[in-house]
Amino acid sequence: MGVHVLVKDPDEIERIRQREMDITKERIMKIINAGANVILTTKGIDDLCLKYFVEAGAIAARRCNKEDLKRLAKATGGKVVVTMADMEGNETFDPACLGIAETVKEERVGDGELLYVCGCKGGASTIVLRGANEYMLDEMDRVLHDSLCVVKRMLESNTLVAGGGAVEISLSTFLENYATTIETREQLAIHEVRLDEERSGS
Amino acid sequence: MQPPSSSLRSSQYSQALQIIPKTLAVNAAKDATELVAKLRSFHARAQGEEGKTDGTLKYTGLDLIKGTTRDNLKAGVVEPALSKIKSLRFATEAAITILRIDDRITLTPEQEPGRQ
Repeated sequence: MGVHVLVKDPDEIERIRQREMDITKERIMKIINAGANVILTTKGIDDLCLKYFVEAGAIAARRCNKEDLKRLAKATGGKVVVTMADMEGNETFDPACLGIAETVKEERVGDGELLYVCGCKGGASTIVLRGANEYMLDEMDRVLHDSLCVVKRMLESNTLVAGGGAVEISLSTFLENYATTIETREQLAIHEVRLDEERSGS
Repeated sequence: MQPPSSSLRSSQYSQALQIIPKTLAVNAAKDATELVAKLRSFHARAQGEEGKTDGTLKYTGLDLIKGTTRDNLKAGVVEPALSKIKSLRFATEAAITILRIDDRITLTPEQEPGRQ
């Protein structure tokens, strides 16, 4: 932006650096003082800054998925905070942005660790799929998606029929009986067709 | 060309419907002919003796793990009625569309040589 800062004293540089860190610390303290004990972010958190969260007894997770954060915000009733700047030009953290969950815990699943957020008042839930390889997981994902869609349809219409070909055979039998009740000249032809099919079927 | 009579139509429709349980049985590596025959006899009885039996015969479907037939409603193998109705309707409409286009093609070339 064309702004130049000329520093003549080497001590000044140290003080600038110190101030920068203090600004970050103030921000962190604002978040913690608002009552937050779980902090999730899509970006990184410096190890020095992570120290403040640990001291306050808060969980801070960095490099989270943005989609996950949005979902979590919806489920816990929180808000994804992009900036802490308020209308007055100061930096504040609004406690209204905080979401509520019963427990947050980290659990080892396979090789990785997962952060479980339990008891969200939004009623959202996650299904953790585990499998031998990616292809198997992909297949499980598709199958689960299909079956959830079936349940969805069923709940939408509140009607169901017996599966495993029951409907098709029932309708087929009915139509066959119905076909014989219709008196037409083609009746003989149908009989021939059916005999033909029985012959080719055997 | 006269359209096929309604009895032939429903007979063909019933043949087409039997492909579904047949394919299900073939995919599970079971005896498709035997299972479909079994299913047909169960459903013929269910529809023939309506009121005489306990009425659960019409829920007979395939058990593809054991390779037998069973009451699928009791076994918890169900499908949404909505999607079943819609797929039947859609298949019927597709068949109608194909048949309708077929008629148009056969009629045009017959007229052409007669005029010249």
